[in-house]
Amino acid sequence: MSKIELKNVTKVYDKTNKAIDDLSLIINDGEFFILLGPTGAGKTTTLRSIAGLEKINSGKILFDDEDYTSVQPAFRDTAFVFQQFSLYPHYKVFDNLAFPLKSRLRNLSKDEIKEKVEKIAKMLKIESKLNNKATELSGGEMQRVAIGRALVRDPNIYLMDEPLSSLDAKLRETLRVELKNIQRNLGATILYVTHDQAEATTMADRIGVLEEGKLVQVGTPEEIYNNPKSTYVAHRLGSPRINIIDEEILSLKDKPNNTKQLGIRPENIKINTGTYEGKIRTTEALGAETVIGIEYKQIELLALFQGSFKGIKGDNIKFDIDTKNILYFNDRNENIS
Amino acid sequence: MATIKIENLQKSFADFTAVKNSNLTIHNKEFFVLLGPSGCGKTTTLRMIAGLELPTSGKIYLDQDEVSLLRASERDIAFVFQLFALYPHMNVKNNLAFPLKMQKYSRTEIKERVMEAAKLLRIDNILDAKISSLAGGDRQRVALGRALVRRPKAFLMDEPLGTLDSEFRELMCLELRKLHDDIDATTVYVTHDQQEAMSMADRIAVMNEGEILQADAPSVIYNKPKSKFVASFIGSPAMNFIPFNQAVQKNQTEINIEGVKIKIPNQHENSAGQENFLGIRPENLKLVSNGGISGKVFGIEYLGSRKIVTIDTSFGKIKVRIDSNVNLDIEENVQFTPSNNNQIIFDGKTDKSLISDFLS
Repeated sequence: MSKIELKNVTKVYDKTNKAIDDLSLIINDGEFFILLGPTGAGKTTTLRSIAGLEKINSGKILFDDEDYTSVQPAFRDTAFVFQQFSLYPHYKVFDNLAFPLKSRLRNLSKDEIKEKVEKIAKMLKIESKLNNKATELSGGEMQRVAIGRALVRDPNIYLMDEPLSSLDAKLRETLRVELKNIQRNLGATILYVTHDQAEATTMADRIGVLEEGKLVQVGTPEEIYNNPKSTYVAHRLGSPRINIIDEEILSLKDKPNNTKQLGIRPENIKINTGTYEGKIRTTEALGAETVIGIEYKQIELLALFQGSFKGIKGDNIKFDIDTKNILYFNDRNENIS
Repeated sequence: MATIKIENLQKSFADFTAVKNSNLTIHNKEFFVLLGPSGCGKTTTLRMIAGLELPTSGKIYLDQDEVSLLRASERDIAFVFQLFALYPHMNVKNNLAFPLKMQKYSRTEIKERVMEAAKLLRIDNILDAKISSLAGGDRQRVALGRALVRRPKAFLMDEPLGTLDSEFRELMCLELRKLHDDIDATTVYVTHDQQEAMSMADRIAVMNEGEILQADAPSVIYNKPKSKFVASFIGSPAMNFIPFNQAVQKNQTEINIEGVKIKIPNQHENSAGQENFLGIRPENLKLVSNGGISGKVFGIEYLGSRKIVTIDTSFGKIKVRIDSNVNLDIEENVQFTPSNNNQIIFDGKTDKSLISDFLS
């Protein structure tokens, strides 16, 4: 495994469209790094540039401090997992997993291949399926095999492009925990891209938030959730989403100069207590908690209530805001807390 | 709007029974969700209500009228499909007007209804745009608008948000629910996504293998599921099922798991067999320093306002929800125990929940 560094990388499509814009980033050896952003933010282009599948227009890509910018893809030794798994349908699971090891570049004996395949199959809990054909697997098993085909190798870095997004919610949740565990046990360096914030906060050592090709913040999930640099980043993490409101609505006394907007996480609004008064507009039961939409001075505030809530739409409701945890943003949407 | 009632509804395709002897009443103005895994019969049920499939036996009523064998066009119902079938070469206005033109409404009437629907959906500013130039969310709104202009008695929706990405889906859920409230509609909505169901429904019917297992309000389905299947299908992360080898007797208030005594709500019936499950949601468990069931931390998932810890135990993996400021290490030995009395015993033989003080 290696340390990967991007230095001022820019990739332009169609002469004017900057898919990634002056992006600098270090992924440490053994780190699980996740790039988070909506469709079109430049996540996949970044992955493909590291793999050598895209030629960058300017900047440098270093593997363990060595310049790899113009090295051919085959010699970069990266392992790619795609969103849509592509297995060899006529091969057995074993042969699908063994395929990348059979390359003449590697020169591995049959026993070595068998050992590696069995080790990874066990980790991914597909050891009982090794003799099945790829077409005889469920969707979740197929994606395990696709991930396994990357993991049997010991490349410089694993590059994963939304590998869980085509699976159903239950399976995604299970694989999330398992993938993180495997990564930790292998000490693997992974660059993983996704638009799913839950995947990012639950698996990443560090998250990089992308906005229109620019890396706007890098940090641990806690750092980014608690101290987002901008309203854009604040919106990316947290479900239900953060309330961003005009500062005049609350007219707080102690606030930084130049405060324009306030950011209040729904869990920091407590209901049935305090001095604010609003009207219940929506209630959304999520099981363990309820999201309550409160109408207050013509805006809607979302509050997170633990447990099931017994209020009726249209009723008045009291609430309190935990002012210690308010975020303050200036007129350029920057966090000035 | 309308009340929809189905009685002993059944649908077979050759020797496969897609829907088995179903009974349901969907009330006027209700947002009703049919939820289940693929192949459970939810879409077939919806299509029978729409008139796109005819039942093998049983009856369907729209208000007082029996419509079981009427054609789709003869029922006053609008259907929104999973894949928005819009006319890509037409602009938004013409897409909205199309169903009304087919039914030969007057020009002024069409104009009025199109504007009304467009305003409601906030697409009145893009009426002249071509469908091919629209983003996914706007397309979805146009598809909804095309159902809306007909002012039908009921809306039927088959996974209309299935193709959108997660952030956008959350937003559309809120919008759909608001729209439903604004127009006092009766909505029947099909999905396999429990989160969508929980966040929008007045009532949810959980289906499996052609049968309706339970129809109740989201909080009842979540807290008091009548079977292990329903319990496992609802909730994210899912409910924990701790297996134990002990018959449960009437009036029992304690069970034994791995040598640890666990209090349970007073039971009102006996279990059918020896192998049963204690069902408990992650938020109803807490970590304790001693006296609990022991295990090793396998994974920690940070989710902003909370963390989910996965604990490896001798009987499988258990998830516990904790505050996000609690720090734990992987491989750390921990103990956990129920934090309240919201526990359900599932009968290993019948898959059903046992009646107790907590679950009646």
